[in-house]
Amino acid sequence: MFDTRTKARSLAFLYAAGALTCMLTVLLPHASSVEERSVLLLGACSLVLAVVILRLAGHVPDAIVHVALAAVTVMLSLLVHYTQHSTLYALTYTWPALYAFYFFSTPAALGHLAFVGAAYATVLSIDHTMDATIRLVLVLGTPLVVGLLISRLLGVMRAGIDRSARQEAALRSSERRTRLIVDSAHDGFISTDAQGRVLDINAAAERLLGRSRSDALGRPFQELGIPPEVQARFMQRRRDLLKAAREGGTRHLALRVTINRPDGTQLRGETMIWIVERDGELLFNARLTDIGDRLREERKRERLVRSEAARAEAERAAATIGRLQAVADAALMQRDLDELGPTILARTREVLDAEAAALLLIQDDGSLSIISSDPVVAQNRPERVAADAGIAGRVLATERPVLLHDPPACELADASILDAGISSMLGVPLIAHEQIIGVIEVGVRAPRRLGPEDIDLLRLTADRVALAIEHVRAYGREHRIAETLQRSLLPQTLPSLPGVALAGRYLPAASEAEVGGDWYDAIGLTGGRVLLVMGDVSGKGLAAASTLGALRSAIRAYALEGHGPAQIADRLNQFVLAEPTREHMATLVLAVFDPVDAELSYVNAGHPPPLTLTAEGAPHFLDGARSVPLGVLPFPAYEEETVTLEPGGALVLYTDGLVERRAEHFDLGFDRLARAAADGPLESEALCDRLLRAALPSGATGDDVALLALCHVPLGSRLALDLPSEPSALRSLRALLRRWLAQVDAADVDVHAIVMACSEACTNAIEHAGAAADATIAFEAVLRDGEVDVTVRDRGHWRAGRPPSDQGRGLELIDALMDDVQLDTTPGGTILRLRRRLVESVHV
Amino acid sequence: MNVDGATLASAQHGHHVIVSVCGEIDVFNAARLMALVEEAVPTEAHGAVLDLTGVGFLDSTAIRKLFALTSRLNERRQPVHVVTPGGSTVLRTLELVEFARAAPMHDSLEEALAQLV
Repeated sequence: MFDTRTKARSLAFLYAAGALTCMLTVLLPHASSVEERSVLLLGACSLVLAVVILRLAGHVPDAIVHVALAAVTVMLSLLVHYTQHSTLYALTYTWPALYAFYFFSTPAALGHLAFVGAAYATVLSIDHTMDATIRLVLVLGTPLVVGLLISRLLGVMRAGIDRSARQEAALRSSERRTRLIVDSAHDGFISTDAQGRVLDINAAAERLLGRSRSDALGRPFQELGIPPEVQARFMQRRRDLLKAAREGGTRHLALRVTINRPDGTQLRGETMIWIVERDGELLFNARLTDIGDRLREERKRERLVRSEAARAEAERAAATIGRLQAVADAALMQRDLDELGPTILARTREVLDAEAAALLLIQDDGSLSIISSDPVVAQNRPERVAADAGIAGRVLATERPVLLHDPPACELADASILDAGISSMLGVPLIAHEQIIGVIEVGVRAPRRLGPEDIDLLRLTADRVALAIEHVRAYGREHRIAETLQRSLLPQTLPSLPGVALAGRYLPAASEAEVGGDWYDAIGLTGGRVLLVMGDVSGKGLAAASTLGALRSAIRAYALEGHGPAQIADRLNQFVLAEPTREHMATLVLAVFDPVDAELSYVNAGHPPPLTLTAEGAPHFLDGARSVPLGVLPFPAYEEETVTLEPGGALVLYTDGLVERRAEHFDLGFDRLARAAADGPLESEALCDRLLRAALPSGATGDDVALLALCHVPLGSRLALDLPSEPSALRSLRALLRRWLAQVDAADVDVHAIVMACSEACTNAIEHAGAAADATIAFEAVLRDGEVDVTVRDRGHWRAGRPPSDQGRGLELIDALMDDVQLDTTPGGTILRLRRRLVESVHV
Repeated sequence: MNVDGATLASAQHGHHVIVSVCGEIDVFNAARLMALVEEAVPTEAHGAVLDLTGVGFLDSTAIRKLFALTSRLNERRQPVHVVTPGGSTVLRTLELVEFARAAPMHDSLEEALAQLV
């Protein structure tokens, strides 16, 4: 019922009273037996304890209060003992008991009473100034009587206190509730008396009026922020209302008010004032509503409507971007940055309705190259600008869009923009793979100003532009690599061999397609023979080109090992199959041509058939030796076929690009090829040109085309060839020479002598031709009137005057083998002429 | 063993070694080929038979190396018998330089082996 604070304070009072009693005992007349010092000490202790308890009041638990009360009892006992006024004891001892019964529950109070009694009894038993009967009566009677009286008294008191406490609590909670309701109301409530003085306001009113309750209470209503110029009118309206109410008329008044808050802000509100009667007095109640909220809501709605409109606008913009996207998609088909730039800029200008646009890309050296810009400002514009100049420089530095109005000339990398009347400029970074690759800029003429929505639009544009540029660059890189690779895999020059005239063509596909896998090759073999290769690796791009390179090298290696076409094809098949990716297959024609006897051995691995032409130009496709492409079967067993080319005839190898046209039957292409081949002179270069013209009148097509033509030039009575300046070429020379001599019906003894002499002569020429890698030896053998004349030319100088021992035997041999030997040393080199009369050929 | 367009094979025949060469021998491969022939003849062999039946051509370098080889083996008291079939290019070449003075020459391998002691 009582809080600890009250209990503690009362207890402190008790101690203070005890202390006072002690002082009075000493001050007033008293018996000499009184121990004054002890009593004073006791009083001081009481006083100190009283102060301590007063300080601690409210912080101590009940248990401490109990202990303190018990301590009071002990102290009183000591006081009685020291003063020896045992007759006053009864009165003294009632204090703690009274306290206990007042403040504690009955069991606790009885406990204290018992303790008091015990203490009392103890003191009495020690003090022997009274007789036993009186002491017994006092010991038993005093606490009993006192206790009963006190409990009776307290019972009555407590009942009264309880009741009033309950009423008060109920009242408080009701008030709280009301207050809570009023305070939590959204509207402000202000209650004033008849004079308009504020009696109360709620929390909402505090907020709305911008002043605290304590500040508002007692003020006249009109001083709560109603602007001075309308105060008079406001008061008039209120007086009118009061008058009307007294006369039994209307009791309500609705007003729209503006409240100036103390902090300077304004409240736009509506107030409803009504009159209530309480205890015969008329009071004003006012409800204040913030219509500013409502106005704000209305504005919010308006904004929403506007944002809807903005969304519609954004959708229109999206459509614009969609157009741009379509352009970007189209741009993805572009392979060339120079073509892409103007397209992109034209579209960007359209999208942003801008007069000028420029695209600046960061170069390897860090500068910005202007890839393309609008005609308005294109003139006099530098091709490159420093990366820290102008708007672009600022965009690069901040990595954010930069919007500039009326820029001073010094801010610009190129002041000619100003001359063009551009007054508002915007630059946005181009970002690809999280890296800035450049800047796109737009500019408009006054009075237009670019704004935030333009930034967003240009950003979206920039995303697509960056994507397109990146695509073009990536494509360009791969395309260049693949094309370079493929070009490098085609022979730079075709071998120059006696008896054959070779010409080759390669036409890459038109720009929108990838690099293809067509290739051709011609490899000189021993004995003057030549291996022709015409192939087509499936697939496109870099992968196809690298497979092609591997095949090319493999063919050269197999050919040098001396394998024939079928053996090479078998090995290549294994080679292709062994490729780890096994993605590619290849079609291929391998043909070995021997110019001496015009024999052609070929194998066809799934490739269009080779075309042969007679010396008169009659075409014929070689349909034999056909088998599957390389890389499809483990053991396809390629078999070669040998045909004889007519002397002076031709052979044409090609890839399907030459005969295939879209929406056309295959045969038509072959017919066209055959007709074109027959229609003109059999000269390899002319033949190639003619065939390409006929098959591809408009140049490149979707597929790449490779073409190789071989025209047979019968050796006849003359054999001429350029010999590379290396010993390995000698074997080939000897083989060719033997075959030629056999063709001109030379006898064995002549063949032996001429071959040996020529070999020696060429050996010397090689040894003296110098170290130059490109040095060649011109060899010519002519049969004339039963004599063979051989000429060997080199660029070196024979040491004819003093032939070293090494060459001595060589020259001796030549002398021994040939009828005539002439050595001419000229500034340009050495010419050795050999002559031998053939033995009479015996034709039986 | 393949040496730049020529092949070389050797076989033991009693105390002799038979070395057969096929292909063409010229400035390009003569030195290496003859060195290999010499290696094929161990010091304990009594002699060697060099079978040139499969050789289609000898140039002056090859001839010089052949002379050098036979003289070195002769110094080691390992006589060399050379086999060149009658009418062959090689025989014609070797006759031209009178190679028979340096080493005995035979028409066939059998004839050469029969001559061995």
